[in-house]
Amino acid sequence: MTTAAAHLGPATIVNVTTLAQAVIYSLVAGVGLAVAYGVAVTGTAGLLDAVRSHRTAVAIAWGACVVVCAAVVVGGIAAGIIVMANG
Amino acid sequence: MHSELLLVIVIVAALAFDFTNGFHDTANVVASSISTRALSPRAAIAIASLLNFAGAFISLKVAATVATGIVDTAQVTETIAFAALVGAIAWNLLTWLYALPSSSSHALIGGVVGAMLAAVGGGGVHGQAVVGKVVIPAIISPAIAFLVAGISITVIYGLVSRRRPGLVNRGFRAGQVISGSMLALAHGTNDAQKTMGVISLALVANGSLSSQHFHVPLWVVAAAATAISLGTYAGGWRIIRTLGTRIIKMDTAQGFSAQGAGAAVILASSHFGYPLSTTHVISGGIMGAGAAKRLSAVRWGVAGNIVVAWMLTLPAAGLFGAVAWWLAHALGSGALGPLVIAIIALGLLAALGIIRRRRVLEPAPANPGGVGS
Repeated sequence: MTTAAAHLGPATIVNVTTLAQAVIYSLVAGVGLAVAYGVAVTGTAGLLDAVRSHRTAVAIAWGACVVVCAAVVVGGIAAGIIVMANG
Repeated sequence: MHSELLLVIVIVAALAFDFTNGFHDTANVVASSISTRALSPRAAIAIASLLNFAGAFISLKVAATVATGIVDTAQVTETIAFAALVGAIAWNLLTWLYALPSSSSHALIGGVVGAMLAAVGGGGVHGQAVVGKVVIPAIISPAIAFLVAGISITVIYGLVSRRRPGLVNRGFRAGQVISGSMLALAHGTNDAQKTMGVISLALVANGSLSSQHFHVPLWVVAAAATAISLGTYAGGWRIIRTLGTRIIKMDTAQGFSAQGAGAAVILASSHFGYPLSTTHVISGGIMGAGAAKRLSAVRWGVAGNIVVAWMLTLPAAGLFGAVAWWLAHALGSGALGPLVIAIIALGLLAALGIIRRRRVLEPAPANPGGVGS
């Protein structure tokens, strides 16, 4: 490391904007997709319970919830791969 | 002639490193899926292997960071690239022998920096880039994975707490196939690129590639992808046991959260060109998923040993890289030094294999909460 570099602060050495973006992307994708999948799992359980107890409206609501969450998970994964591949 | 022979030795060494990387890091990718029985060991390793291969083709930003970002490309020689690889492989094998999941990525970067320091001194290393693109992300990434897994599992437990456990378990077991697959893809993306970076460095040193118009040739991508996927398939049972059962005992939701957190952090970081360690990240995710449920669920002693291995990796691989360069340099500037070192390394490898065979090993651990069946 050069003498000048030795006097640089951490913010100069690190590209804070890029690092912050990486952190935010990780948090949003990691927590967002995991929670969406969790809602899909609980929705599937709710859907099965509702079907078993013949509560049609509740079953439809849970079914819609599962479809939306599954779409979010699949779409999120596909979007992530496309963004990565396109650099 | 000497230069071409040297280039071939470097490429073979790089692909050997890539193979050990896959072999060493299989645990990171498959431990959670196997320990919760979401997948059988064989299926988990086969899926991981295929997706490692596919992942290598997704992005090249990490390869560019390794090839042009951390050292002065103009001063790199093929011998330096070779010594860097020897340092990384030596450290990888040593930690594999003692079942410590250290970082292959940081071993490689440590090897590159160590060999470069030995060959041309501090002027050849971009110190700021090493700190900014390797060291700081290395410190931050496990913490982010810890946080992501911790938040995810807390919310998930809140969501599914009133549901039938059998149904929930089945749901997250399926989820682990997805999150494990994403983790394997992420591993292939980030880790195979480091080998591509070193091969590209050697190609630049050889004059086959221009540092001004840097690009990674397709054959390099394909070769690195193949080597890492074959290494992954060969597996690493001992490290799988450390990661899968000795840090925490996981349920399927925790495994899902840990793998999802790992995949998200590695893919996001790869997109920005950070050469992260999958080992660091998934270990952070596993600990986060465990700590969110109960702090005492994490075996902090084992986690502490892993942290020590991490801290040792950069300097130790750097030292090995420097020693390899000094040895190669002492034997002359041509292909003779690397050739002699390669032969010695093969001999040591055979000795390691014999030592390993003499120890009592379990090819598929029979721990009920653990891996293998």
